[in-house]
Amino acid sequence: MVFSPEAVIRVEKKKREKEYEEISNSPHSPFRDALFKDIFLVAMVIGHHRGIRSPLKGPYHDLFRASVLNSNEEWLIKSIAIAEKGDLDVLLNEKEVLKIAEEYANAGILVLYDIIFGGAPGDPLKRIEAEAMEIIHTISRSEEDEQG
Amino acid sequence: MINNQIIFFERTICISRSADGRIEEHEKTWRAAYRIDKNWESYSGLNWKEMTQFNNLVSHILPKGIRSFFFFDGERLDNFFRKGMEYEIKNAIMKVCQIELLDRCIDHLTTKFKELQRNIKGTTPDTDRISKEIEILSQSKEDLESEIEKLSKKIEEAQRNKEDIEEKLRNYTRFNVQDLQSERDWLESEVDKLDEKIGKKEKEVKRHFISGIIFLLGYDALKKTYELIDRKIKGVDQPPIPPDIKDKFLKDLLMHRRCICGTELSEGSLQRKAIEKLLNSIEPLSRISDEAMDGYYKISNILDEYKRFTSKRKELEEEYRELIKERKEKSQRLKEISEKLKGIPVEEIQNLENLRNSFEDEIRKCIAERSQKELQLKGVEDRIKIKNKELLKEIEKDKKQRKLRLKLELCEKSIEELKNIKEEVARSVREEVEQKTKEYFLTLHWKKGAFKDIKINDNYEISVISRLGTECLGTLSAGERQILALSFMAALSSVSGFEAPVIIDTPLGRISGEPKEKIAKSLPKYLQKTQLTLLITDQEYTSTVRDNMKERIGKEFELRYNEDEIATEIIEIRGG
Repeated sequence: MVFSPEAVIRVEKKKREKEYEEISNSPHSPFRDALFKDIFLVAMVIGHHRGIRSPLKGPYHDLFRASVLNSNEEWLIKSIAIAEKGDLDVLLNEKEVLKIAEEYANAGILVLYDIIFGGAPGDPLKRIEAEAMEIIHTISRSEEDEQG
Repeated sequence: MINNQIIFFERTICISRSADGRIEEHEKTWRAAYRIDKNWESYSGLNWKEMTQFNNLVSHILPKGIRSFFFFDGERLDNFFRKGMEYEIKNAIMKVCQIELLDRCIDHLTTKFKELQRNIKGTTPDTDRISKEIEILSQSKEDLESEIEKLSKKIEEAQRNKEDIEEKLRNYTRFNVQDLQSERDWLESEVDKLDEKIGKKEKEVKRHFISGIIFLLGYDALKKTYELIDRKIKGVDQPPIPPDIKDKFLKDLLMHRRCICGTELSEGSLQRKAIEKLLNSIEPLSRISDEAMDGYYKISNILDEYKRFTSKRKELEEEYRELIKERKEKSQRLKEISEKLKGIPVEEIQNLENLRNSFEDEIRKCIAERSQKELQLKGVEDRIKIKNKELLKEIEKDKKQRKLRLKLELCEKSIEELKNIKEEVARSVREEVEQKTKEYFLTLHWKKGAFKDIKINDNYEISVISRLGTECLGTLSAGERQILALSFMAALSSVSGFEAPVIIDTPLGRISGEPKEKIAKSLPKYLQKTQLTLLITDQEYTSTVRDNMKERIGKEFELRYNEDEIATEIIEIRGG
């Protein structure tokens, strides 16, 4: 299933005007000039990684069409839904897949905003990277275990 | 003389000297007029009768703003493609766009918008405060824009001055000056290329980081999905992927009401119910089976790719550091060249080099200042947008102000749209000029196949791309630059859509020897469907040049100064 042409990724209008706007425009943001799509995906994976998910409250804003995602990004979104449901059947419900992604991003965007503008010392990218580094080490360790 | 009236043509130019001593040209005008008092009974300025029909006629054939692309000075054409002339190129393209009407519309709507904002008073306690804030912000926006424009002009002027000095050094044959300047030209072009590469690499590092982070933080979900599909494929989890039995097969059995073993599958029978249950469990899986298989291989690739995230990141950062190192080395060599030039025991060279360095410092300083101002401007623009939204929200609270709110919204949206249209028109004209310049240049150039493209980028910087794909504007000879300039002017006049004759003053003025003859050979191919008048001096018009151009010469006149009559006579040498 490639996402249907009419499928859109939504965010809360308030968050589009504040968090997304500042993250993509502020000269202090490492995501300055990044696509909304990328900011959304970062927010989504941060939300998922930290296990925080919050339903969207209206009014909504259509951030981008799901059809602009490349196949890797599409499978990342689908994987989050599958991991969440523990079942492949969720693939039959595009709305549900996107809803799960939107809800993780809805919570994750606040974390991302805080990482960038929260006033903690140091480079925000390094802090995000540090979060991912734990995973890299886990991957390396499991690889080593597998090899022997 | 018309109807026994002597017609006088008057040309005026208005200039002033700025505070820093520069001469600034403000306005050029011309008019045709005759005296009401034929015998000049008085010298009163009131006795002139202007003949506006000439101006109107000329304006109809060719509007004032774009005349310079039809009547131009060949000797000054070369200036177009020197460093710091992007503003002139942009200006020329904007003039050809003829978007003054859009500009006027935007100005008018902006004034109207400000007027409407001023009229909002006391709607809610906050409206006055927000309006005042917008007014202050708008004023700083205007101030910043004007400062940015001044800095841009200052940068261009300093770049031209620096370029003039470098041209002098290029022609100085003693004390190895020429070689040092050539090396500097090459190094500067290399540093420019490196800056471009560094910018691209920075983006690549950032892009790799963002996409990498996305997949690394999503690693757990991807891995879980991969394992889930893997178990289905291997049959560990039932039903497997792809299902052992095709759903179509079960549907066919149900439709024909008979099993392959011959058992009848009548409605409500146990056998039928068993097959229906099986179908229900595998049907969804059949529908997602292909997709899951596709995902299985995709996820496997993603997991493999991002295992290499750290090593790839290190690799990219290393490449970035290498570029920075190379740039540093080249910059160091540039400093050494400058020191060598300053050490040459010729006062003129020392002075030129010092002056060049001071222009370079000025350029650097102004560019840094301009970037800072641009950043401030962006911040102010963003704050204006936010304040405008806040203001609209405040007005919404008062129903009586609905009409005013609608007007404000309409103005704001219209300004935005008009700006978009303006940008779109300018972009499309720039692309057309780029295409035409390329066509003319490749036709006029005598080295066929040596160049493959001409580009004018978003910043109105022109590049000439060689057959090998390298940028070579900086290494064009004077003759080639003249060809490029002629091509650019021809492109501008052609894109303007006006079919007026073209006049070029001293087209070969700065060109010597062989290139002059080559350009003369190319000129008959230039602007083929246009009447072309060349004002050419005897130094330019050698017999070879004449022979090379004769095919296309319709009429030839000589302007001969008669000292006795203190007048210039026009003598026809060859008729059409």
